[in-house]
Amino acid sequence: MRIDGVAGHRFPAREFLPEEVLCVAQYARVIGSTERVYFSSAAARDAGYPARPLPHAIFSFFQAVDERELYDTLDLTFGKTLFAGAETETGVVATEADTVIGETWVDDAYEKTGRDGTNRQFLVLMTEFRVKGSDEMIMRSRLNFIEKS
Amino acid sequence: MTADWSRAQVGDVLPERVIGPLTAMDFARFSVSMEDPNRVHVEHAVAERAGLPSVIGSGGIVQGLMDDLVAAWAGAGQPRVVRNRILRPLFPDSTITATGKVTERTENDGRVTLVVAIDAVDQHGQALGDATVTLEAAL
Repeated sequence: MRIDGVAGHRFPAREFLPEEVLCVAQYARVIGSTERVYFSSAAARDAGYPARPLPHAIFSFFQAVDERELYDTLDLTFGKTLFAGAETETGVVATEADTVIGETWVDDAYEKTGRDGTNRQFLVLMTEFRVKGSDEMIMRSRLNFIEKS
Repeated sequence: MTADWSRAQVGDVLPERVIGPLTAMDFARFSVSMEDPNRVHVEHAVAERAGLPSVIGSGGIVQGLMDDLVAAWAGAGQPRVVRNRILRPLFPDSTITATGKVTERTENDGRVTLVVAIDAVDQHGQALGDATVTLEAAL
């Protein structure tokens, strides 16, 4: 993981149509949701949504950053760079038919010595998703990653 | 069905949710559903190279489960602030039990704020993650 000089780096915003990228039914099945609106477009319309709604936690930084940038800019090594948790503020519920704009930037990147004396690198990414046009915030997250040096 | 969460009191318990045993296929389905590029969730060789005994599930499974426990109870559109931690890797055959409890309730200037503590443990009782969720609304 690269920590020198990356704090403050903003990745180019990405725009996407969730129904072309995400699969809410598969997501909901794995987390054990039984909400019919996630599995059926008809049930979603009956509940007043124009299309299937998206759980807030389905959004994550990798939809807002080109995958290549994760390696080129941050030098992430998946499996070594571990997700440690997040602070998330939720907003409106987006549906799979809304065009979504995601933006990610590096809030902080630093190294610290752990209790066992080994060095650990910490990376903090901020990610924000908005509905295109209305500018309504879907969610904003501060994501924490850790990697043993 | 969502509850009228604004009436909840300290000590109230959210409906528990148990998922699993989760398979490597579940991990793959979840990663694909989110377009997660992390191959450690789907390719054994990549996991081995990272020093893991097998593929691991995304921390997003635990995070998503904890968030959805509250969303299902309070309503998906209810704004909330969630602070969560992922505490250990999720391996195949894990069963996750997520529980939640109201730990704080305050009323101020016609608004109610609730804090809900969520825990997610595996079938051995080991903590996989925890979260604190804050909900606020007009009374």
